[in-house]
Amino acid sequence: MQILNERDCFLSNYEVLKHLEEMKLKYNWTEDKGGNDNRKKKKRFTGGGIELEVITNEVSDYLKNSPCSEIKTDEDLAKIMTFLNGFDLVKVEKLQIINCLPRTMVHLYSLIEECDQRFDQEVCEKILGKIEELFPSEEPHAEQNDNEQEEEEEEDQFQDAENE
Amino acid sequence: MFVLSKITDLIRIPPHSFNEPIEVSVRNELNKKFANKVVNNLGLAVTVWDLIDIKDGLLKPGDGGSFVEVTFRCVVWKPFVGEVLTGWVSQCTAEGIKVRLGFFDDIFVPRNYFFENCEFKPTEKAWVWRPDDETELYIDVNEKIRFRIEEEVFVNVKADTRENEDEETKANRAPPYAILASCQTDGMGCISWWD
Repeated sequence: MQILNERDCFLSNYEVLKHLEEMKLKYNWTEDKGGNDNRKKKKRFTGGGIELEVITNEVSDYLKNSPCSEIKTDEDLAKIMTFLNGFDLVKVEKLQIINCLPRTMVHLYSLIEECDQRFDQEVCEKILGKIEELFPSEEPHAEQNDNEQEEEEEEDQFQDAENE
Repeated sequence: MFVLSKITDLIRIPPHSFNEPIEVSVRNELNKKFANKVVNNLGLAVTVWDLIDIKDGLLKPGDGGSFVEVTFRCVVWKPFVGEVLTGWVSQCTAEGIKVRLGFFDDIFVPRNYFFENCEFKPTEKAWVWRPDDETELYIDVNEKIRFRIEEEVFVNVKADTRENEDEETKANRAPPYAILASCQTDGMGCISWWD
């Protein structure tokens, strides 16, 4: 084994989650929600070994519980990215902001190095405001609705895969 | 943070998967070999991202499989020094606290990487931070905390040949990839403190 390039490129958590979710659908690892008989007919794929399934589930669980799961579509990601490009931020700082979606000033300050010297309060508030605007922090009630929607979406996706 | 690493490797395709398209069997064999494994001096390999190049297979006398040289990109979890992550406290000891992420559990915050005025309370098995004289903030097990990566430690682990080994020595053996983290600046520590 030879490592040609340690860091070919960076991945945002959103991209990793998307890749893993696609894999889960493709290999039929999504859990049975009951009532869907089509799913049982398709066999679970095990050719990649058990370790692959373990790490896929663990990483996607972690990512789903992290703020990056609030980014739902590629357009949202592009929007926040183009907005962040307007500031003098280093690549990894933008990436960290996208992965963590900071809601508080103190969190943002911890992600950006020497934030108090490079940016003034206004800029920081602008960034936080934009995050809040694109990904409004959910009320407990709204969260429930979201989950239901997600489930529906997932089922749609599954059916698409079946039709193919 | 996750990165893509470009790796080339020689892998064996077993004869029973000759009927599958080569991309499929190569991907499966690579996943079997790399998924959930620590690659020394690189990080924790998660899964294959894409295949870049598949060379022609080679045969070895006396072996039914074919050996293929593949260049591929792999999703690797490799946090950089200074990165801020969130995790859950899994253990509090006098030496420091252990943090787990769910998929990676060998993160340690040693005692000298804490805030000032932090101390361990043996009776409650918890770390306490006193930002001023009146307040006491507790770091308990299973609390969600934010921390900064300080150092990564790789240990070259040899293949395990000892059969009769008791559980204790097994648990005490150094992990192949460990991370040292700190909670020293504003915003670190329990997430609930800063909301």
